[in-house]
Amino acid sequence: MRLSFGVALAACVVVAGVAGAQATPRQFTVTPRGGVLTFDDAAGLETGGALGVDAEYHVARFFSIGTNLTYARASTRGEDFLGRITYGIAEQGDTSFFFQITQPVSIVEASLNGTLRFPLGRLTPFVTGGAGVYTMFLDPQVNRGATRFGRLSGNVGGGFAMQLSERAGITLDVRDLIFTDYERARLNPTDGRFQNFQFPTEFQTAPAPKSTVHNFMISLGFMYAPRFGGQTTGAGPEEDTQ
Amino acid sequence: MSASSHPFARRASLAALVVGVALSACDDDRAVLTDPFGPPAYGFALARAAINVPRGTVTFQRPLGAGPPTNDTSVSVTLQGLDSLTTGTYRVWIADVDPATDTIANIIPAVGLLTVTRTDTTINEQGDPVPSEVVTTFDNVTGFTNGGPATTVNFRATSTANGGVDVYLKTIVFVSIETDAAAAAPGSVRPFWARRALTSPVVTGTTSQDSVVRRTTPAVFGNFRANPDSQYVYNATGRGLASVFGDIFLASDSGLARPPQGYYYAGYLIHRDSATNAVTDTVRLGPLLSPFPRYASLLDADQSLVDPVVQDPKLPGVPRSPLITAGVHRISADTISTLTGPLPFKNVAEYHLTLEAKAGREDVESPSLIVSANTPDVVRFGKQAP
Repeated sequence: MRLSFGVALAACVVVAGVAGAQATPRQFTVTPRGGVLTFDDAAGLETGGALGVDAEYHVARFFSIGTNLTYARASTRGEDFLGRITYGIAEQGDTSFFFQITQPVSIVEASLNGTLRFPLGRLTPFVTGGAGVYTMFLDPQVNRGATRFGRLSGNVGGGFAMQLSERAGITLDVRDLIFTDYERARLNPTDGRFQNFQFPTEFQTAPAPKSTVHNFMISLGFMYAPRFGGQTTGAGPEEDTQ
Repeated sequence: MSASSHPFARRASLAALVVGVALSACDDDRAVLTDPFGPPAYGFALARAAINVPRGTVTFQRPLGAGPPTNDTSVSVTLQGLDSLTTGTYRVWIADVDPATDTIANIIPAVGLLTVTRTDTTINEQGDPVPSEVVTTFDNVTGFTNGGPATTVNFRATSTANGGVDVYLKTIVFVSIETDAAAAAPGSVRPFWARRALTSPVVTGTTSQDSVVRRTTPAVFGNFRANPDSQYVYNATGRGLASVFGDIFLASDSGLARPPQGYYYAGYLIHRDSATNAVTDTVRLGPLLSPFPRYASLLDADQSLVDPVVQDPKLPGVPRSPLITAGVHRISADTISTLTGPLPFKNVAEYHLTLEAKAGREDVESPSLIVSANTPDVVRFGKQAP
């Protein structure tokens, strides 16, 4: 996954490098985005869709700070969470069936980010990084009640923004979304009585659990500079001098 | 910045893209349980059998009264449930024991008369079992290798045959398993013994010539030590669960008594004819293994700490638990040539966990059945045609 992340990041930078430069200091931008979140193999989650919104204040031409909020919806990977239901009693012969237990999971990640931009005309490559928290909301029906857990998170990535108009543009970025103190076992809703304890090697075994998981997210966003009181925030767009 | 020449179209396209991504992200599928996958597992309980556990008696005898006796002074060892040996020999030793110093002295390799009695059973026309004994004797022997489920071995050593030593007064009799049939001193594998001190005299006979005083005691099976506090007495225990899962057979035994030195646990699957119930094949599963994920062979669990997880009691001064807390037999049918077809365990009627002598025959099941189970019908008879 790290390799694909690096390749995608490099591709973004290469693509961006062929364009010109542009910057809008002291300006607020809001970027709703949507994309795909591919989880670490050890996370026990299938690839899912992700939505997010980035609110940024462009401190200077090359630097902005802001908040990132990401919501993702994914399903747990059934192969990693096996259940076993046994009918009858062993003394008289029993029969067990095996199931892959899945559940939908909602993930919310919020972070404070700093972004370095390299204006090259209409295309602006950028790198971003930040820290925050993530929370995983497990399915209340499957878990017999509201269940959630969360810890600190981090993200690092990059991409490029392409200006479409005076106040709008699109962004394409990739990020490594890092979850710390990750507890995959919390995603297993199966009661201990129904765990597959007897045939641990007969099924595809789950990857070794990790406390820090790296998840790959690629997003396409729509960047917009809102107009407050009829005026665009900040110093306003600079004229393209090229 | 130059504005787009078609801003509305671009924004509409972007909006449509974002909505599409959003919809794909909001998959409301709540698939919690899939359909069962893989074959079902058919489980059954394993129970303690304790059939034909090695056992026996020892009788010290001497003539009583005046006149020339018709019965010599002797010590007689009778054993059952023995495993036939191929790489070892059972040897009988008589000695004096000093429990205080945990030592034995004046050890004599006994010479005696060996009587091997095999009891075969046939079924008569009325359907009743009819036992018939086949008795074979060998005089002046120093050891034997006989064993089997229906075999009783009696070894009688007289004072006359042993150079005039008063065997009645010897305080200990023990049986060892020796790799060297002519060994002059006993080895460390000493699975049977009897202490004369634990006996009481009983007088039998009607005349002064045939009257004798006898002291009889059960032969103890385990690890002999001169000091009774240090000896280990084997008591057959065990239980467990087994399952057939596709082409996998897994038996999980629990709470097994540690085998005496020179012994180990092995497993077998017994094929029986579905019509006559006669045994048609025996599949050896090999020595018991420690559980997942180690799967270490417990062949040497009698004398070594093979897997501390199941052998170490975590008690100060106790190096090995008297129990093997867990062990497994796990086989995949594709590794056994006789387990073939879509239902490889069809006609497998029983699982046996036996106590085997390390010097015994690997290709023959020991008579000492410790844990056993009958497989459920769905395994033995397979799926019936509709």
